[in-house]
Amino acid sequence: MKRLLLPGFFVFFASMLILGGLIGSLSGCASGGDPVRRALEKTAIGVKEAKNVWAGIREIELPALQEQTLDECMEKELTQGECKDLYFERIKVYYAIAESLDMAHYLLESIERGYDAVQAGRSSDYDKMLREIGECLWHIEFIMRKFREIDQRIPDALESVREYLNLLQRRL
Amino acid sequence: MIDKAVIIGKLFEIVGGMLYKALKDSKLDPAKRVIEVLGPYDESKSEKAKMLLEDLKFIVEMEKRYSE
Repeated sequence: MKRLLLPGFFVFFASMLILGGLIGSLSGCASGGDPVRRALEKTAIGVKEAKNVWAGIREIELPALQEQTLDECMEKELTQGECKDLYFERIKVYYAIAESLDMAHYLLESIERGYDAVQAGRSSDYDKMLREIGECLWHIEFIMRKFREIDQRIPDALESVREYLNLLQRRL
Repeated sequence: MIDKAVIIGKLFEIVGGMLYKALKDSKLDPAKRVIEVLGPYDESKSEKAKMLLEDLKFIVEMEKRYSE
């Protein structure tokens, strides 16, 4: 009885190892097996990082710009209306970036929904997805241009978003 | 001998059951979804909405300065 206990344990242990490896490789295949979903996930991560960079700019630079504009309004004795106009002229570029980030977020969700529908056989509208990817790419490139306009370094995250969107376009 | 086979069989049954449940509960595709990474798109919490709040701060500060 005792003689068989040790080999029995080893057999059991080895079986568990094989089972574990099998399950691990299966789940690994499932996660890496869908390049479109992986690219979508990485694009979303890039957009999130870009949003964080943008939040830093908005929280630090915008109050400084507001203060500077108000000082200038007082100095030049502008009316309230003129002061408001001056401010809105200056923050036009910030609005453009904010709106494009919103659009990139919205489009990514829509692309994913479209992909889910295609996968589930509810749709075959690849053209719509490709159009949305193209539009998303346009917004990312627009944000990059605007970042240069306000003298900001382009966040690395945006470069990778562009790469992943290009990858998505090729995969579909 | 038979007892041992029964015990090992039972052990396999228990561990197998646990593994099956773990696999069933976990998503087979652990790739995160866009919505999990970015959160659902909500216009009231959008970047544009945050900009509008900044504008409000400016207007309030401007009126304060002009009334001084």
